[in-house]
Amino acid sequence: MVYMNWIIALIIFILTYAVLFTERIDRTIVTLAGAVSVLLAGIVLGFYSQHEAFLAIDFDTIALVLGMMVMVGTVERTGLIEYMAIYIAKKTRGRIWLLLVGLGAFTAVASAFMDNVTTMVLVAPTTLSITDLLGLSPIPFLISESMLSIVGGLSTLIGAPPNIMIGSAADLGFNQFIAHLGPIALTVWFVSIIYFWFKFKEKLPEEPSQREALEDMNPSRTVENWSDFRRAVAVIIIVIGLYLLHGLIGLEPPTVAFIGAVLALTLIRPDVQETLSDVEWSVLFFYSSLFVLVGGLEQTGMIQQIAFRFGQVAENYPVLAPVALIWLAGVLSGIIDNVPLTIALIPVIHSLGSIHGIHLNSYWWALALGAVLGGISSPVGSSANVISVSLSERTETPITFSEWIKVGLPLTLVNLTIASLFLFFGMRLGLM
Amino acid sequence: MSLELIFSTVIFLGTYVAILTDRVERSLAAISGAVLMVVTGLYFGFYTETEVITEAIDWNTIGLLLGMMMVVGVLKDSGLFETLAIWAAKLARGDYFRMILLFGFLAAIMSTTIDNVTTILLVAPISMSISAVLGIDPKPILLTQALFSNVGGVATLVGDPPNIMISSAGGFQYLDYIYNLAPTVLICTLVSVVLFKIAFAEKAEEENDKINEEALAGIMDRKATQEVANWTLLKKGLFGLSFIIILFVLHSVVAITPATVALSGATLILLMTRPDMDELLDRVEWTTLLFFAGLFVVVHGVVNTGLLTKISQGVLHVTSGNLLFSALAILFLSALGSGLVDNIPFTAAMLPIVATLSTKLTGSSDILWWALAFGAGFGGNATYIGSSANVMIVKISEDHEEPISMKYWLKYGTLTTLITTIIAGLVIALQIITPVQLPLLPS
Repeated sequence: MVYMNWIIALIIFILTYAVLFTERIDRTIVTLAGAVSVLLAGIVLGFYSQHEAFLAIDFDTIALVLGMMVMVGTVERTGLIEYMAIYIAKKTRGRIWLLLVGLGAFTAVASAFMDNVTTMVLVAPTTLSITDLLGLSPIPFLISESMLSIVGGLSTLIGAPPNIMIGSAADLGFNQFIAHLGPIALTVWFVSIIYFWFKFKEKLPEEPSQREALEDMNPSRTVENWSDFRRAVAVIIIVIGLYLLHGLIGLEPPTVAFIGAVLALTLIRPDVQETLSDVEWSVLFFYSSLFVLVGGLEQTGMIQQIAFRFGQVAENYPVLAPVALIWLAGVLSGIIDNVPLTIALIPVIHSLGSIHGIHLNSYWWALALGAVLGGISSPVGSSANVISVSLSERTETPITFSEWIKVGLPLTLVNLTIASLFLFFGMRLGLM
Repeated sequence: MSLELIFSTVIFLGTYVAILTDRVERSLAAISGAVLMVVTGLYFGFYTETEVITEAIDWNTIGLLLGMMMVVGVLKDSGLFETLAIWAAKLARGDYFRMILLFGFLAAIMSTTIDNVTTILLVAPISMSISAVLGIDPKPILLTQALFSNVGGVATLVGDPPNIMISSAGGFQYLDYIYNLAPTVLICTLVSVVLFKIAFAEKAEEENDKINEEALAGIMDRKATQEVANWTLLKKGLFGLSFIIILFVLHSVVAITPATVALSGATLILLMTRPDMDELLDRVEWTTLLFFAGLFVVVHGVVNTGLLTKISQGVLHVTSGNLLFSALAILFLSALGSGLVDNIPFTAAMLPIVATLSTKLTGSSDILWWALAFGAGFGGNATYIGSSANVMIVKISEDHEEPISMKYWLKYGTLTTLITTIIAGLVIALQIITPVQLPLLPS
C-alpha cells in the first residue's frame, strides 16, 4: 500500500514537472493541477489531507516574497532605479568598457536586494535607450546584465528565490548568506566581467560614434516627485539595515520584509488597492502550489527514503557529495525554473539531516550555488533572461537561443567550477 | 480579570469598532488588529507565531473563497451571469419585489446544499447585472440574498459550517437536521418574506417607476441566450461548476472538504479554458481574503485568552438547571455572538459548553444543540461581518456607486436576526413546554 502511494504521487510529480518543462500550459495552472491531484489522491489513499496541504506551504517564503513585492513595487514608482542607471552611465562618459562594467555592477548590487526580474524590468529598458543613443549593439549589455543580476542575487538571502526558500527551510540568516555566498558571488562577478571582455571585444567598438549624445541624458527626468524619491532611499536604507541586524534584534526575514512594505506604503503613500493588484499573485500561487505538490510527496515517505539511500552514499564522501549537488542543481536549473527545483530538493536535504555524520549546511550552500548559478546557461534558465530576450526582440537584433547558449554555457561551467572549488576548500577548512 | 484577557478584549473590540465604523479600509483594520493581537500575544504568551498559520486561520474558508473566486472569474467572460440575469428579469416580469423574492429564494435553496459564500459568489453577479440593465438599485436584492442564504443554510447538515461542527460534536445525521431545523427555517423564511414586503414596499414602488418601460419591453423580447458571449467557455465552465456542485452535495459522503472541492473544480476549469492567469488572479479579491485571514487571527486571540468561554459560562451559570432557560440562553447568546464574531470560531467555543450542559440536564436535551444551530446561523445576519456571505455581498455591492453601508445593513439585518431568532425561540419553548410532540417536530 505504501508503494501504491509512492507510485501515484511520483507519477503526478513527474507529469507536473514534465508539463512544466514543455511550457505549453501556463505554469501556475500546471502546478495548481499537480497540487490538487496529489491532494485528491492523498485524500482517497489517506496519505495527505487538506489541512496538511495548507501547512505544507512555506508561508515564510510567501510572506517574504509578498513583502518584498509590495516594497519594491512602491519604490520602483519613484524612478529611483532608472535614475541611478542613467547616473552611472553618464559617469562613464561613454567609455564603452566602463559602461559595461558600471551597469553590470549596478545590476548585481540592485538584484542582491530586489528580485532579478524587477531589476531587469527596470534596468533593461534604460540600457536600451542608452545603447540606442550611443549607437551601440544592445546585445552584450542585455546579456551581461541578466547574467550579472543572477550573480548578484546569489549573494544575499533575499536576492534570489532559491535563497529565500533555503533560508527559511534551513533557518539561515541574512548575514550567513552574505558571509558564505558573498565572496563566491564577488569572485564569480569578476571572472564574468573578464569573460565578457573577451567574448564581446569584437562586437563593441572602441569609441561610440555618438558619445556627446550621452550629455543630453538627464537622470532627473525619471523622477516625478523628489520627496517620494528621498523617502524611497530612506526605506531602502532602513530595510537593508534591518536585514543586516535581523539576527541581533530577533526579527525574522519575513517580518523585515513586511516592515519594509508597511514603511514604503505609509511613507510614499501609493494607492493601496493599486499596489496590491500590481503584486504578482500568480508567482505566489505558483510557489504555493509547488509546496503543496512536494509536500504530498513528502507525506508518502518517499522523499525520506530517497534521502536515506542518498545519505548512505553521501556519508562516505562528505566533501564530494555537496560538490556533486552543485553540479546536479546547476545543470537542472538551466533546464527548468530554479524554484520548482529548489522546492523539490529542500525536503531531500532536510531528511539528510537525520543521518549521522552529514554536515547539512554545506548541502544548503551547494543547493543555492547550483540552483542560482545554473540559471545563467540558457535563456529560459531564469526569468531575468527571459526579460532580456523579449526586450531584445523589440530591437533590430534580437538575441537568439544559440547566441545566448554560446555565451551562457561556458560561463556557467566556469562559475560552477569556481563554486565547487570554494565549497571544496571551504569545507576542508571548516568554513562552509 | 487577568491582564491578557483585558488586552485581548481591547484589541478585539478596537478592531471591530474600526471595521464597523467604516472609517478605515476593512482589510487594513483587520490586518492591523491581527498584528497587534499576535504581538501582544507573543508578549503575554497566549499566542505563538506558528499558531497563526496552523490554528488561527481557517484555511478551509480561504481556500474555498479563492477557488470559487477563480471559477467566477473565468465564468464572467462567458456571459453566463448576463444570460441568467435576463432570464430572471423575464421571470419576474420586471417587478422589483418579485426580483427580490426570486433571488432571495434562489439563495436560500442553494444554501441548503452549497456553501453560503459560494451561493453568493454565483447569484450576486446575476443580480448586479440585472440591476445594471434595468437601472435599478441592487442593494435590497443583494441584501436579501445574503440574509436568505444565511437562513437557508441552517436547514441542513451541510448548509452551514456550524451545523457540520455540531454534527460531529453531537453525533447527528443528515435527517436529524431536516426533522429538527428545516420546518422552523421554512417558517422563518416565510415570515421574512412578509417582513421584507412591508419594509421594501415603498422602495419597490419607487424602483418600479424607475424601470424604463421601453427597456423592459426590450428585455422581455430578448432571448436570454443572446447574451452568451462565448459558448465553449460557457459549456466548459458549466461542466466544471456542476462537478463542484455535485461534490458539494456529496461532500459528507466522500469526505472531501469544501476548499478542496472548490480548488479542484477551479483547476478543472482552468485546465479546460486556459485563461491568462495574471489577469484571472487580478480578479480574485485579495483584500477580502486578507480581511478574513486578519479577522481569524484576531478572533483566535480572544478564543485563546478564554473571553468567549468566560462569557458563555457566566450566562449559562445563571440558567443552568432549567432546560428551557438554558436552551433560550444558548439561542440568544449564540445569535449575539455569531453576529459579532464569525460563526465558526464562536461555535467552536460553544461546543464544549453545550456538550457539558446536555449531559447534565434531563429531558430531551438534544434541543440545546438545535438552539446553538439556530443561534449561530440566524445570528450571522445581524451585522455585515457576521458571516462570510455578508462580507462577500458588501464587497460585491461596492462595484455599484452606492454600496451597502453598515447602517443600511443594521437596519434590515438586525431585524431579520431578531425576528428569526424569536421564532426559533418560540418553537424551542413550545417543544420543551408542551408534553405533546408537535407532529412537525419529532425530536
